[in-house]
Formats: sequence, structure tokens, C-alpha cells
Amino acid sequence: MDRKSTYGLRLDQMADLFAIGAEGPDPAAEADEDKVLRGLLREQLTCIEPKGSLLRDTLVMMLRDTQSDAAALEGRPLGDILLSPRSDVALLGAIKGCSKTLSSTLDSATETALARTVYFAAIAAALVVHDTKITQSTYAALADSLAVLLEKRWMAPELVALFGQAREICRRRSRQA
Amino acid sequence: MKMDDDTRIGGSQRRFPSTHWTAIQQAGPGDDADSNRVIGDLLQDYWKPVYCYLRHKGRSNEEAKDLTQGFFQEVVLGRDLIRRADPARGRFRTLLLSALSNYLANVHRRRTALKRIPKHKLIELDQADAGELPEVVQAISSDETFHYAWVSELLDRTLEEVEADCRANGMTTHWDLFHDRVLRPTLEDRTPPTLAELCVRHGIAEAVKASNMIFAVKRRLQAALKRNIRQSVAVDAEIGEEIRELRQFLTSNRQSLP
Repeated sequence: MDRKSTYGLRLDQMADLFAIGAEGPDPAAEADEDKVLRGLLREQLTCIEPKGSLLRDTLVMMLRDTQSDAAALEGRPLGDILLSPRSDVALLGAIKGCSKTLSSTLDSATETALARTVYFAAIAAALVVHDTKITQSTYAALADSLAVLLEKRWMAPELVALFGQAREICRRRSRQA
Repeated sequence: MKMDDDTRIGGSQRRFPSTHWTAIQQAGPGDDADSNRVIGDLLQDYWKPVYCYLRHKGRSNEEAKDLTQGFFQEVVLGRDLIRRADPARGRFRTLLLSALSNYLANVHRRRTALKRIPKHKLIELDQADAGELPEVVQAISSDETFHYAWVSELLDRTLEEVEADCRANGMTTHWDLFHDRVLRPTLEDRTPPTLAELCVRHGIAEAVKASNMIFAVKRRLQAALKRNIRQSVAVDAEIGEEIRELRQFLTSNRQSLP
């Protein structure tokens, strides 16, 4: 297979390629890892065709395979679906189901972290927007999981707000139970 | 020279000493075949950053190629670089750039460049892909042009090794997926095909499987890049710092370029 040289690429193209090779566990570069994850999550939430991560693409294929409404994702960024009051619970449930599968089957730690974030975002959105719990986890367990995500330095601000609201609902209902 | 620690994956089958530092220090004085081979390997890998730097400094194509030969002949083979090589003082990349800058200043001062160009060339640069500098370097300095060409060589070498590694280990489809989804879209600056399209193209049933295959290649790429960077730093602990520095160079300039 003929392959072009990287010589002549723009710096941003070369930076994208270098970033792929530069990923990976490096305890000394924790801040860089956060930066990478923050960028990938931002791309997942705002882009229709994210370049850095395969998560959205994989999710769309899985939704198609499970006969879910994959068309609802077409032309819309994932963040728009997760944060929009117009998204119905069934779609959030399907996204939750697929991202749960992905978080346990993907080999990449980065992709797994993103899948896990989308999984909890779907649950949190259903809870905050539709007042519906789409998981069998208890409110107390859910509050704990959301608290862990809220501490992630790479978390997107809009998800911090969503997770914060969902955690408050979970704590309140956990006390009432 | 001890070669047990050589880094080899299925690529070019060239044998590399453990690092460039140990290579140039162990090469020793004299003009023996082993020393020449070490210098030849270094020239093979690093002529382009040197050449690009010289072109960016305003030298013509032919002059830059002759000066590149002269630099490696005089400074590297002539032991100046080896005398200056102190792993504690920095990375091979910065040592080479510093030596090149001094060499050019000396050549300019003494105006003896043409006399110093070796009759017997170390490698035939005419066969290499020299020529005009890419548009991208017009907006950056000569030093940055050196780093740009350095990263380009590093990535090309690494990608070549990973492709060969994949093909030699029954991972041809893995590589093809990575190539189609990640590499080609970046190299050709176009939208990548969807995972669904790739699954059809390569006969893969599940999206998760395709995703994991692509990440398997990414992991190999990450390991190979670290191995190659390891050759230009003194100790393992400097790999992360070198990666951060190169990444910072690439990202700090991207905003100001067309």
C-alpha cells in the first residue's frame, strides 16, 4: 500500500499524527493525559464527525445493530442529544445500553473513559430532564459514581453541570428512601 | 559494539544500537568500518532536518546538499560532535542543531565551504527526496524547520516500522483499518470514512472489533514512537520530556499558520 510521507504536512496535521503516537500511559504526563481526554470529549460532544475518537462511530453502528433509532444521531453531535430536553428517554436508554457495552469491551483506556462518561451522561440526562431513572443502580450508588466523574479534571463543563444536578437528585432521593 | 539491546521490529531490519548517545560514544576514534556504519546510520536518519535547516537559511538545493555532506563528514565523522556529546547536557536533537549552527557560522566565516565538501559522499543525497522546502516552513524559523523535519522523519520511520510489524504479524487488516480511518485522512486532509463503511470494506462484522483493531495499531504506534525517541535521549526518563517538547513545538505553531 503506497503511503505518503509526513513531510509537507501542515503543523496541525503533523500534531494530530504525533498526538496519536504520543498517547499512552505516562504517569509523569498526567496533565497531558487530561488534556488529551478533555479534547477528545469536547470533540465527541460537539462534532458530527470526530476525528480523534471512534466512540461516536461505534455507538451509531451499535444502535443500528440493535434496531434502535440510530437516525436520531445522524447530523447531530452527541452533546446535543445528551443535553437536549427534546431527546426522548428511549434514545437515552439506547445510548446508555450501547455505551455500557462499549465501556466493558473496548481495549483502549481512553475510549473506555469516554464510553463510561457517555453512559453516565445518558443516565443523568434522563434523570434531570425526564425525571426518569434508566438504570437499576440505587440512587446512592449513582450519586457515588457521579461524584467520581465530577472530580475528573478533563470533564466538560456542560457535563459537570449535568452530573452535578443529577447527583443532587440522587442524594435527595437516597435520603428519602 | 554491544548489539544485544537493539530495537528491532519487522521493518527495515536495520540494526540500531541502543541509543544514538551510546552509538557515537562507542564508535571511538578512527575511521573503521564500525564507526562509518554508525555515522552512516545517523546520516541516513537525520540528513533531512540538517538539509531543511540549511535550505531555510537561504542555501540553494545543491549547496545545502553539499553542506549537509560536509557537516556529517567534518563534525560527525570528524569527531567534533562526539567530543561535544555529553548526554547530561541535552538531547541528541538539540546537540545536532547546536553543532549545525556552529558549523554553518564557521563555514560562513572561513568561506571554505566548497573546499571542505568531501569528495567521497557518505550517502547520495541526489537519490533522496530533497528539493523545495514545503510551504509550511515559510512561516517558521530555521531552527523550527529543523525540528519540523526531525518530527517528520521520526513519524515516517515509526509508521514504516509499525506497518511492517503489522504485516509481519498477521495484522494486515488491522493496519489497513488504521490506514484508512486515521492515517490517510490525516495525510490527505480529508474526512475519514465511517466505521460502518470500513467494516463493509474489510469484512468485519462488529464495530467494537474494528475499533479495537484500530486501537491495537495505535498502541503499536505509541510503543514504536517511544522506542525511536529513546534513541535520541540519554535516559528513559527523558522520553516523556522529549515528547512534550515536540508536541509543544507542533501545537504552539499551529495557530499562527495557514
